[in-house]
Amino acid sequence: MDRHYTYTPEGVCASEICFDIVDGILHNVKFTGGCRGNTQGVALLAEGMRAEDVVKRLKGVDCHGGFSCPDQLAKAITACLAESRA
Amino acid sequence: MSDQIIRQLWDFRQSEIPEKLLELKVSQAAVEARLAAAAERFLTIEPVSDGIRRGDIAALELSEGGETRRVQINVGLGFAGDALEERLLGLCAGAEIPAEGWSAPGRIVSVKRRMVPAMTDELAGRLGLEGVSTVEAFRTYLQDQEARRVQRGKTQALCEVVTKAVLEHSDFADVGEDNDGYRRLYRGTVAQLDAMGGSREENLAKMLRLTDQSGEACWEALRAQCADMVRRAALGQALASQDGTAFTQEDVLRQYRDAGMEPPDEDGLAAGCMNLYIQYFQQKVADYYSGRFHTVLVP
Repeated sequence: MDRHYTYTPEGVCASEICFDIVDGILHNVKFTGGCRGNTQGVALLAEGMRAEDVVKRLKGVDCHGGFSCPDQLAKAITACLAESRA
Repeated sequence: MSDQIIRQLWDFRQSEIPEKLLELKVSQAAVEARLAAAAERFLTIEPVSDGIRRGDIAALELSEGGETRRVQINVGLGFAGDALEERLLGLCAGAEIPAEGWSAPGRIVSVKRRMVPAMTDELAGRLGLEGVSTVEAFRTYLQDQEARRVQRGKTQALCEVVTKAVLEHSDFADVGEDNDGYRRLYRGTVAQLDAMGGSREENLAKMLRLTDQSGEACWEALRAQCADMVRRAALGQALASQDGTAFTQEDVLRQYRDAGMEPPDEDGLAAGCMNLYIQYFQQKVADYYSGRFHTVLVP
């Protein structure tokens, strides 16, 4: 299922993460807030990757207190995929 | 904190504030852009039959060496190569892609587009913002948010104008070596300069951003800065005293503990305490003027 998804992360500087998943491929990742350069970098590197592969790579990345923007992106994708399967 | 140095405190509410400082200019264009961006939250991704545009997601089947591989391109980002992406523009789903230097032959399997709806009352209500159930209410909400953002910046400038006026009109005892707060600030700064290594004067010139870097000018600037900080803290201390409030070094220590930071020495704690009083004064000023700002919408 193709969908645009908006996620409110926790424990990180970014206040919102949104992206598209089209036929299982991730596009147009956008962080609101957070370290501008780092989040833009993560977003560009994730562009066009299989959503599940992005989760595998970014899950568990730590910035402070067990949270990080990449890890929160992984959580957002996982939530989106779970909702799409439901 | 420091010795009592104010003989007479001038009432900050008498300050003459330039009208422009109380004016919160809110750009209607910026508000409309944020409104449109909020609508993106509800965008859908739909297959389309017309020609590919930038921003479309195109699925291609490319034939290479007898094998067919499927790729998905976010057209316009250039990640698949500018030449191929330029060539795709205007082509529809089902179209053949001729083999050229930059691409194997293939065909366009599908074209999908992000469809952003216009913001409606129903969508505004779905944003889940308290009291927002229509587009107009959402627009007002965004204007208020923008006004508050501008106000935060203006409040800093306003506090400085008011503080300078109060410093100018209040009556202070001389502030110098015989003042405990002054001595601690001066000593603490010199310790910082030594910790930086190199010339004290050069470090001081950098720290205070002085253009005249001659030795005596640097030390004179430091003495003036220490005295100014003691006077500013005294303003906060006077208002806090009127309100029955006081800050101690324990309050500063708690801040360091809460932030998980190593606490400073006694001189650093004293400086931290002065900062709490300076912030107290600024907060009193900000609270007093918060209702006096007015929003001006500009195109």
